[in-house]
Amino acid sequence: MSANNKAVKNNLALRQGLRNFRSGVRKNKSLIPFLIPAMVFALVFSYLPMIGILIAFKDNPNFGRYDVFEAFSRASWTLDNFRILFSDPEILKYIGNTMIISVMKIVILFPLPIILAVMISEVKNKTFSKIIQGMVFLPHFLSWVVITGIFNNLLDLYGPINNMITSMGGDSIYFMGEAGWFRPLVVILSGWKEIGYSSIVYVSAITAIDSSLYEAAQIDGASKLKQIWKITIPQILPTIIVMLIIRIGYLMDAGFEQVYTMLNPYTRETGEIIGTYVYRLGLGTGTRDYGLSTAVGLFNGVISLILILGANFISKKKFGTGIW
Amino acid sequence: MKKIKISKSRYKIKESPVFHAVNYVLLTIIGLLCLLPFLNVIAMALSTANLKVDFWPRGFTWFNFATVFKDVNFFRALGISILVTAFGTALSVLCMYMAAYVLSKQDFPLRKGVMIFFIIVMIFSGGMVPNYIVVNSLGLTRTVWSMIFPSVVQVYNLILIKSYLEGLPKELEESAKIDGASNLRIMFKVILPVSKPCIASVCLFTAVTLWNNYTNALMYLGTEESLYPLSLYILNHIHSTPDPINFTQVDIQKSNIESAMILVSILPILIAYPFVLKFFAKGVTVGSVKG
Repeated sequence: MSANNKAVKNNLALRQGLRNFRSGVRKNKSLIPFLIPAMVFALVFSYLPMIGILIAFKDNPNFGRYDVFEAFSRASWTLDNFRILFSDPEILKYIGNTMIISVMKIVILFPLPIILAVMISEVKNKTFSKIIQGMVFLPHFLSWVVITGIFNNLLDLYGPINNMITSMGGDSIYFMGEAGWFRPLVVILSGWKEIGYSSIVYVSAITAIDSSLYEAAQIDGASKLKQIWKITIPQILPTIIVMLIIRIGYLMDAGFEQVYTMLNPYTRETGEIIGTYVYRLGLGTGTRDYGLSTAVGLFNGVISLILILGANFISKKKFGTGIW
Repeated sequence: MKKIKISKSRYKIKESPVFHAVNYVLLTIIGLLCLLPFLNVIAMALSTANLKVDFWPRGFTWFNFATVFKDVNFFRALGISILVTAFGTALSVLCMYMAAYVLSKQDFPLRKGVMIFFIIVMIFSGGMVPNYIVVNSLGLTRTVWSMIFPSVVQVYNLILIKSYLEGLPKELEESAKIDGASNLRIMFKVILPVSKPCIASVCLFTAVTLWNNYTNALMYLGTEESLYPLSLYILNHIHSTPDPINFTQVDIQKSNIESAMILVSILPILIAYPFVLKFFAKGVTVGSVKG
């Protein structure tokens, strides 16, 4: 009997659901056209290229000579691209560069916006706080072209930094042209651009802290530093952890736009990352290897996808907020 | 609030002047570190080449600006950038607003599915070569459209607008519906006006993104230099090495001229910047993204 009841109930629920769906469709039918432009752009410029991933499993198709479909069908199926990807020391080096630059960015740069946010929140004078925030947010809105251009001059042999070094008796350093300086510079420039802007999320988290906590601590005679350590940091810890998880999700993205502007033949050894390599190989000025370039891009994309999905899952499950 | 004030006066609270003094000094230094590089750019743009320029012009000259203002290619690139930014922003924000409006309806069927459809766009891409092949097959490479169309879908903006719309009172729309207004009318005459702060900030951020972007141009324009936007034009200038045989004054002044170009190119952003800060003050963009 109960099984029968359940079936009836399920049936009813299903019908109800269907009815809701149909009435939803009827009520909202006139809305569908407004979704179409965005969906068409997404389909054409994001989903259609996903089919192109198949190129990774082909011998280098000759798109120069034939049209897309013919070039594609002429090229034979192969796993060679992946064999090369996992054995070519050059490619493995670039994958390594990507990871090293990315990890350096996270380890060195991740804590700094938190410190900056704490400092900004301790400022009582509203005007001063606004001026400082206006100053530190600005670099975020500049393009990497502009920032690399600016730092090319700052770090030039005759620029201010080298002037300072030589006036203290040191030797000038050709910062932008030395492989050993590339990674530190990527981190420094990235920090200059983003530390200020990244502090916003922490500033707003600190604003949300219940002020009675501080008052109680002040009555107990806790010092400012102690209050920061014992109240501010623990209170914003969930935000910090969520941001860290999300940041780790973007591990495979060492920053194409930045690295491409900074890279030159002298720094390729330490500076070429997956993104710039994929571009140079697939769309650069030399002979284009579409198959291998797509394979390397796919490898990067799949790992990123796993990392981002994982990061979002953990962050949603443990802290209730995620990337989306 | 009053109670707290009383308690403050009763238990003398220890203020820490040293802490605050150090904090103010450090923040001032950090702020200046963000601005000093600009001072160097200005100084460089007004200096003669091969002089050690710190933060004040040396061998003062207008030559660099004069060269930039005489450069026809520079102005064409500037025009392309303005065109791409203006049209691209309008198209992108319009598409994202309309989609966000639909997806903000709780009873819209397949709402979840469509959201996933867009989120996939955000987290996975076919990669550079497949993107290039699609754009090329559509005949869009070497056209301005290649800098606009691939950037129309900005999922982050979509989510931002959607959460804003979800926070609006339902009565707005219901009363308009009772008056017999069509969806189109409600969307643009009722909801859009009250969403102004959100839409304006999304417009601003999209515009900055498009203005700064050079990857689309790099990937799709090839050698079509007459269509290069300002960002790519300056980047190529920076990456170029002057011909060592026919070394002209312009070549000698290379990095000084680049500084002048950089200053002209960031002018629109500096003009828009007070508005950007205003949006931050209103908290429009912070914390509005959630599931």
